[in-house]
Amino acid sequence: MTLQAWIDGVFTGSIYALVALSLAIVYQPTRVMNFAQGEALILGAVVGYQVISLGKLGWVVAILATLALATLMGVLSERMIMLPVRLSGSRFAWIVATLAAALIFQSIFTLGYRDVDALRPAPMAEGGFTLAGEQVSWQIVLTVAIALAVMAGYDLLLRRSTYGRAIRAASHNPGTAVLMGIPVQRIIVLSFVVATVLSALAGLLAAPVLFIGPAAGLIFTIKGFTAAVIGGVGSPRGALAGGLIVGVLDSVVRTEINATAGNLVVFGLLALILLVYPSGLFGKPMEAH
Amino acid sequence: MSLLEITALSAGYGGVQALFGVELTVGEGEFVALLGPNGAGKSTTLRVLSGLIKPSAGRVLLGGEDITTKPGWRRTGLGLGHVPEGRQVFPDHTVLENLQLGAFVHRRSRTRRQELLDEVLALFPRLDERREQLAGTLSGGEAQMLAVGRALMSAPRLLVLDEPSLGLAPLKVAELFGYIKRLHTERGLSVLLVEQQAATALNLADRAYVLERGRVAISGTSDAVRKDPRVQAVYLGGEISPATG
Repeated sequence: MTLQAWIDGVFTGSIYALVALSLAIVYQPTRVMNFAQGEALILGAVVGYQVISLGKLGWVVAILATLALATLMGVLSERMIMLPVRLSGSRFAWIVATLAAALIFQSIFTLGYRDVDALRPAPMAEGGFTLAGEQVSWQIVLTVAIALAVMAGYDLLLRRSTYGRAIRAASHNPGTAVLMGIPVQRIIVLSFVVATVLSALAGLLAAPVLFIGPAAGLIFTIKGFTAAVIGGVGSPRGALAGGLIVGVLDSVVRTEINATAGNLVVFGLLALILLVYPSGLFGKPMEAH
Repeated sequence: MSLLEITALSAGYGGVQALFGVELTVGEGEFVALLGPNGAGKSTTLRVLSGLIKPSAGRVLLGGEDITTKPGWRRTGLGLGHVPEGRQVFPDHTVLENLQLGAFVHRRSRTRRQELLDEVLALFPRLDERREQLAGTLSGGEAQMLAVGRALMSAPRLLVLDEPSLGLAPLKVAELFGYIKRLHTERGLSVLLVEQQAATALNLADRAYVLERGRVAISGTSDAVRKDPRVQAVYLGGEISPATG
């Protein structure tokens, strides 16, 4: 009973971790927390449903379509969010801009799939294995493995590569980064694209297992956001740790007590962690500016 | 043909004009100082030069190429090296990482980057000693050296320094200007120095421009500018400490 809850928790946790990482990728160079991030996850689920369940075109087409559409959505999101943020000059413009983007994408998905309860394609990896009497599907294993690989890869990129250093520099001081010849504007567009692609892939992988409705984007944003804040925004390790904490805790409490208690415990823990570690478990204290 | 040619440059901020037809050139291998009180347009000139603001009129040529409308980050690759005001080192990056960021435009050539790094570390042994240290923990003088070293990592044709003496102890200022002088005389590096400390800048530079209310008020060789009665009165009057604030 509890083992199954743990397995489910690790699975949803790695999905939350991918959303948390996506949020961090956009946040680093822009200081914008993209509340529309969860909509990218829905895009992945929608493509999976459309291509695999309805179109019967298989996973390869679904992955290619997700990559293409998510790239487009990423470029579009950058325009929809960063243009008003730059033009308005208000410190709070990003809140309205990202929520507006979220609601626009949500409306599109809801209009297109209004009578679909769950965008649920057949799994990429069929079957599974038994672990101590509990069923574990290959889809879950695959998803967790991909999430771990993405986190490790991004962590390495950020720390070791020239581009990673440039992204961190642009994050700290965009004006000076430009003087170094770093194309900060391109890095911002690229960040939106990479974040959207990662979240969309998470959606595509999660759709066969989770119950994802066309209007569920904001829920994933909030869970991903909670994971990012618990772990410390900007650190891939933090995103992973935060995602797993939120996923497992939610799943275990949900199974042992009920769904409402799951949310209560998760957000209670968020409050507690912020009291003890104001910048998250892996985060660095924010600079004053 | 001059390395840097600024012609008939006008610029401003949202309706308030700050520059009125500024003309300025820096020749190949020349050391030029840009002087003037606060609000005279020195910073605006540099902002146009680095691409942070677009001029309303005029042109900026670097090595004969028109860079007036080029985005800021492209200008570094074309040979513009910046030492920004207030140093602006990346505090959470190590000294070495700061230098490597300076060589971002040479990211495709590992050998070129290593060459430049060896050169800069040989020039500033203190940075070599502190290479693994976070730049945020450096003293003011060391951070300024890092900012200069970082700019040199792009192998610039023109080194632009914005008020490098600001906030440094006099001894450190002398040390820093010693390095810059050496870069100019030993390596023939072209330099555009924006400074409040007019006397010091005039001692280093071949030529100087004095900006006043957005216009070039005085220009000429350093000797001529130094002897100009207006400069004597306003900037060098009995070596009163230069106006700040």
